[in-house]
Amino acid sequence: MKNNVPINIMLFVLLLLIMAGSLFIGKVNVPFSEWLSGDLNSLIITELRAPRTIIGAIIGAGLGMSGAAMQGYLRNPLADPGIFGVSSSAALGAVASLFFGYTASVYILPFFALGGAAIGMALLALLAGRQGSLIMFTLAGIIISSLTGALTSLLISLAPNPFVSGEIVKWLMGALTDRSWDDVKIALPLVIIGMGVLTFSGKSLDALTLGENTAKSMGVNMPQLQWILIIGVGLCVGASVAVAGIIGFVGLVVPHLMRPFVGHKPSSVLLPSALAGAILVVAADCLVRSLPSITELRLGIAMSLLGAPFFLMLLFKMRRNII
Amino acid sequence: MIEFKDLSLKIGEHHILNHLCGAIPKGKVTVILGANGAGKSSLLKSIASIIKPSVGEIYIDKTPITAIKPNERARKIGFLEQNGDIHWDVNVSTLVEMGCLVNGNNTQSNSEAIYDALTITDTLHLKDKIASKLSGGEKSRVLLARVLAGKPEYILADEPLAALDPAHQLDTLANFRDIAARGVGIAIVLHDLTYAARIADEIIMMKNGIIIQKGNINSVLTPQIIEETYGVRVKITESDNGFKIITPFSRI
Repeated sequence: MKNNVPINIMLFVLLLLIMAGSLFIGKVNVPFSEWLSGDLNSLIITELRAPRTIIGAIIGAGLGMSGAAMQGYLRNPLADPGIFGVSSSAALGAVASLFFGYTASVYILPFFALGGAAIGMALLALLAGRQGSLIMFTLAGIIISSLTGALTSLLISLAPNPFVSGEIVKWLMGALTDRSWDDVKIALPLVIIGMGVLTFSGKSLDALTLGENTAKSMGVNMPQLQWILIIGVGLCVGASVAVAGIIGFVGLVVPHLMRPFVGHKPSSVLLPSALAGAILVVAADCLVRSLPSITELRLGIAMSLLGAPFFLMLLFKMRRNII
Repeated sequence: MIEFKDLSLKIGEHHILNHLCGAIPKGKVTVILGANGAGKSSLLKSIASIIKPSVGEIYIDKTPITAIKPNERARKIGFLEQNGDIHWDVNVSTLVEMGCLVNGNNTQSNSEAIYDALTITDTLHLKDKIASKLSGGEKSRVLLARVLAGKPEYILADEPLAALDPAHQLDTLANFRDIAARGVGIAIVLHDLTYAARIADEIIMMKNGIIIQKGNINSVLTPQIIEETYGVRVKITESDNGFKIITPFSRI
């Protein structure tokens, strides 16, 4: 058996370094000596960059682990937390709050998004049924994500004025711009609980490597595993969308990057994917912040720009293996 | 002993299993025979709790299976699936180690069990290879090793010889005999009547979801019963080392 403790420690240290580095990066150069001075420049660090960095790490970890768990559960390397329909239902909730103009408090939009995610999760559980069947689960996820996607488009097309539709479109692209400690307070507990729930799936995911029937014969409770995934992924993804919009590809890409280092056993991919997901999102956010442009490149777009070529590479590699 | 009483499985209007009664004793090899679609795999899957029978009771050592916790049941019964899947590029030793998932984290006894399982199935030399990329026969031996690593009290194997070459078929049969001699109860689904005659202590002969006949080789593997089950005529001869050779030569 592979001992993955050193790799996890290395990833953790790397995450801390990148998070520290992230505090230095931005349009304004704030010397270290002024960070806690209390003047305007120090606010850039304590009220903007610090929460932004922490949120990046939180959602990256949640998305990374969700992706690893989903791929293990569906035994499909192309699975992504997005196909679940939770991210698009959370997005629908957030879009609804923008549409109706309920943005008076910073808590309202995330609250709507979490409500959307909860409804999406409940629908998923309802449609997938009590058997714990993988096919029903996947189809239910696809139905929910296409329905919520259509409703989101409907709201954009019915927007009362161009400003609202502009706001919605911009929000959907996903970003960590102007996040505050309030967002940390919303996302941190939910993602921690979600990841905690997902760690219980490890052994069952390992057994699933041998197929659904063999896993059942080994005592895996498929309906229970389905609940673990719905709740775990729902909390992680719902919380991420609530505070940062849709940030794709993290859940898809990160488990693949980790497998060659930690072995392919699904349970050993979970923690490294969380750590590497956090690293990836914080690093990508540093990149968009340091690009010399007038309006900041949205993080969601940057991730997709980086993710799409990777996805293509993955497909080519799989095709080579099949032939 | 595993016993099943009045076991029925109905899917839609289709009766897959129809009021079956029988047993899988410890220390013996029970071979389940029957034409395609007779319900052999469904019988094994019902006993392994992969599918839930519509009616009937299953007992493991006199305890109803429904009263046994899934983990406990998995420790007692090892199930070897027909054409078993291997997802992800795990190596052979990791895969075989998964058989120990049912037994908790005693690394010392687990690593001994893994080593034994690899040795018995002649797969020790493959231990660092990627399991999903092995040949069909190597794969099925590795999957058997996975079952053995869990040290179950009963082994249910669905066509374990299907992908093997003749030499490994004979080896695997001998392995099953050895394992049974250590007190493990074994039930295997086979199609080859000669192999069934070679290994079986007990035979369960099935057709269309019912048991036509059960008992020892001489009482079940008769030309009449084989004719009734499969609709073929057979010639029964004997090999130099005293095993029955059963060769089908025409359809009825």
